[in-house]
Amino acid sequence: MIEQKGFFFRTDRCAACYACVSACRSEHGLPGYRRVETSGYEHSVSLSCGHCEAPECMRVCPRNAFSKRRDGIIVIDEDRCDGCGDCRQACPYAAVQLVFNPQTQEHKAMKCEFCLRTRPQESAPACVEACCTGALDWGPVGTPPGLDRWEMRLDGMFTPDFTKPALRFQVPKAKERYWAADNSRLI
Amino acid sequence: MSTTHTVRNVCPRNCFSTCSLLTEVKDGRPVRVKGDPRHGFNRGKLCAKGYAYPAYDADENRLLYPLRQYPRHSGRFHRITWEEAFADIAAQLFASFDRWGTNKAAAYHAFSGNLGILQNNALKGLFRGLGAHTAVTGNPCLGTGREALRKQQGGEVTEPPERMAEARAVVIWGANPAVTNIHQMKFIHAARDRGGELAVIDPVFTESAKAADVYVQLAPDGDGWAAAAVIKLLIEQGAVDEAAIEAGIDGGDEFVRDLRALSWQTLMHRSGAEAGAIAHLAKLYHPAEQPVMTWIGYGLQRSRAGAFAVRAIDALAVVTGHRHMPGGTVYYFHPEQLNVPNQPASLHPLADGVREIDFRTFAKEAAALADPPVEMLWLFSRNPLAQDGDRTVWKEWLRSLNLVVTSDLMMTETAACSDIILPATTMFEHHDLHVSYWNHWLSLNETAASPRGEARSELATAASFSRYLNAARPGFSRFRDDLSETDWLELEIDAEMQRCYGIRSWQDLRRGPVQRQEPHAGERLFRRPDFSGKNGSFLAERPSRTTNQDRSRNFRLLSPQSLLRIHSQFAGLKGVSDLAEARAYVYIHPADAADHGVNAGDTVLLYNSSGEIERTAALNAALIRGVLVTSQRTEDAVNQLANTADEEAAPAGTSSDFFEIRCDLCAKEGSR
Repeated sequence: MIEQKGFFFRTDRCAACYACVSACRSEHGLPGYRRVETSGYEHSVSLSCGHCEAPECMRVCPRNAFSKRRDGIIVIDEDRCDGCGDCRQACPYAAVQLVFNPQTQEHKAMKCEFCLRTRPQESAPACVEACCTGALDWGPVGTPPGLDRWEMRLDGMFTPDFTKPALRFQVPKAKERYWAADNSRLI
Repeated sequence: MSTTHTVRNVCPRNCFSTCSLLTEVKDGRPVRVKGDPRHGFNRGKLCAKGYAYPAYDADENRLLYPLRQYPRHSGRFHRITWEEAFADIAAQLFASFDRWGTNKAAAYHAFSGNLGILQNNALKGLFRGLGAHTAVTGNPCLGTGREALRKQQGGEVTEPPERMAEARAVVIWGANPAVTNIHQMKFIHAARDRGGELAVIDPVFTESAKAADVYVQLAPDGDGWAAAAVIKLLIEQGAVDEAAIEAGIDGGDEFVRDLRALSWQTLMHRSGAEAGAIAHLAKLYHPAEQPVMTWIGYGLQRSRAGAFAVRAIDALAVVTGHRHMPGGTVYYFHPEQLNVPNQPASLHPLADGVREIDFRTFAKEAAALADPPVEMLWLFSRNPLAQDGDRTVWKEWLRSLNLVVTSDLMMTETAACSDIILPATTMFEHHDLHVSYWNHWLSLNETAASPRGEARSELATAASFSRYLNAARPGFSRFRDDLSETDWLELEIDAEMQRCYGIRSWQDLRRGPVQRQEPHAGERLFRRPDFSGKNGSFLAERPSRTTNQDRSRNFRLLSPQSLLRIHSQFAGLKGVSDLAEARAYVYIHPADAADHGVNAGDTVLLYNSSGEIERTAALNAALIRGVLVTSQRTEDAVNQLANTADEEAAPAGTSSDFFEIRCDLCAKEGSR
């Protein structure tokens, strides 16, 4: 592999505005391949395919429909996929969708492929292009953006140990909160 | 063979951003939109709703043909021609005119459904062209705070909001840009990346509060008291000089006297703030500290305490010097929509005898008019049945009128109570010009597609109806129906607009939006601040407790904007409506829920003397006890609980005071 591409996520920047999800749907149609998880009170996470280093989807697929490119992006060969759904069961991050095509009356496994089919190589995927807070970024995980510190794991999220997704997080900073004083008779 | 090209459009919704977008048009219809990289505020990005605009254009629920509802209020809508629709409206207009000798019996009600300069003003211009009529006035969104600031500062000049990127500290009182102004967040983050601090002050722990370095929770209506407490603390610390306030500010001596008379106990109790919060804010606003950019939100002025809160926060920025310090300022509202020519309306001089009625009491006051009574109402860019208080009054009044006409894109609740429904165009189907009430950009919206069905832009509706009237009765309408969309664009970009924006013609905007370079000649600059009120300073005008007949109910209901809607717009929009708030939640403190026998997921009723709404209970321990939070929504909208009937005296200003709503809560029987 030359360089593994992946997503970078500045947790403190995400406002759960869903622009990434809406842009993904605009690019690829429903149901779209990205979602926002509002985990707990303090922060949210925008998630899609992790393009894992050890992808379970690829391992379990009985028809070898998945392949990992030299840039780490995992793509699905539609012609091979028979819609069995094993990959969806296996993905720990719920990144694979089974999409029904009413014309062919078939289900096909589909997921984020970094907009490879709709955009020129090296242009940002639709979700990153849409993110206006700078929460979501992309690039080779070996050369992360800025001087920031990036982590494989984020508290409250899945463990990355098993499939090693190409996702890097900035953990939230500590913040000051002054809750209302007397919480009994303020209205 | 399919053809694809790109056109510039502008989102016309009532939103801070007023984003310019690039529309990919394929075979004559918009198929995809992107943010316009040349717009200096949205900078190539859109929000979740924005990316779904092609679906909005193609929505199967769009109104495509004129409809007549017959029998009235039967829910039976019959397709008619524009000619037939105009004949009905003209017949009522002529009958009223012949009876009363004036057009005052014809009223319109409109606000912000489409904020484009041409389309928003077109039907207003039509009414102005009829001479005396009855019209709605005011600003239910932000009017109270605006009036308060104009009283205090004498003028309103705002910095471009992009400057927030250079702030050393941003303090947001009662606004939630993460939900309502997402494109502002990047400028705030840029400031934070350089070491700036973001503080958010809100009764609700919003998405913006979560993002903030410092969050201060106050009681609802606590803002004015908290700001006064910070000033009092800074005076006690010797950081702010009472003598300077007395000497430099009109009403300054009364202000100092009134502030001295306010005890710490009162200030802390009414603000709801923890002592540490006031100390933290005093440190931020210390006159010797780095400049603070203060952002006064619209949320805190939607109650009786609104004007008091806005003036107190502004006063804090004034007495500490941060309002006019280089790098400091106060943001509230950029009044550009009022400063542009608005030719489709203003070209027609306002006749004597026009009856103007405030939004908040419109139905009640309009229903009471005599000599002549209102007999016909035309609604556009508005859906009062889903938004305004006094819903019962509204419904009865609509039934009592001879004719109700609604121009809209969708069959709103109000449209469904109308006799004639006229299909309007989306921004893809007409030309327009747009300015923002927040940023300083001017954008051109160009036609990307022909109207679907028989939809007509409001400008085309106004012009064609004017011609219809004059064909039947020459000279009845003086609306300039001879002008085309591009003629109006020429007129709107007059010499003053050319100077302010550095352009020669509207055609220059085809290359991209431009930012205002110079203020308008008539724009009022600040004068010496004025803290005076009716009896002493504004501090003496702090609001009493509500006199609403629901005042003793257990809960205060806050109903902030939803992320994926603008009021009742975008409900059910394909591609986004399922993303968040798919269910109608009410957020409740767990202890309050327990007290009322409510569990998470229960169907609950919120009720008061005005009505009841149904929601799904969700628990949130970050809430203040006694506060409920729910989104406005379209179905079972919050306005069913709003009633202006019982207030002794209307509070200052013109904003809807929806955050005054008191209600009770119970689990719906049989819901478990």
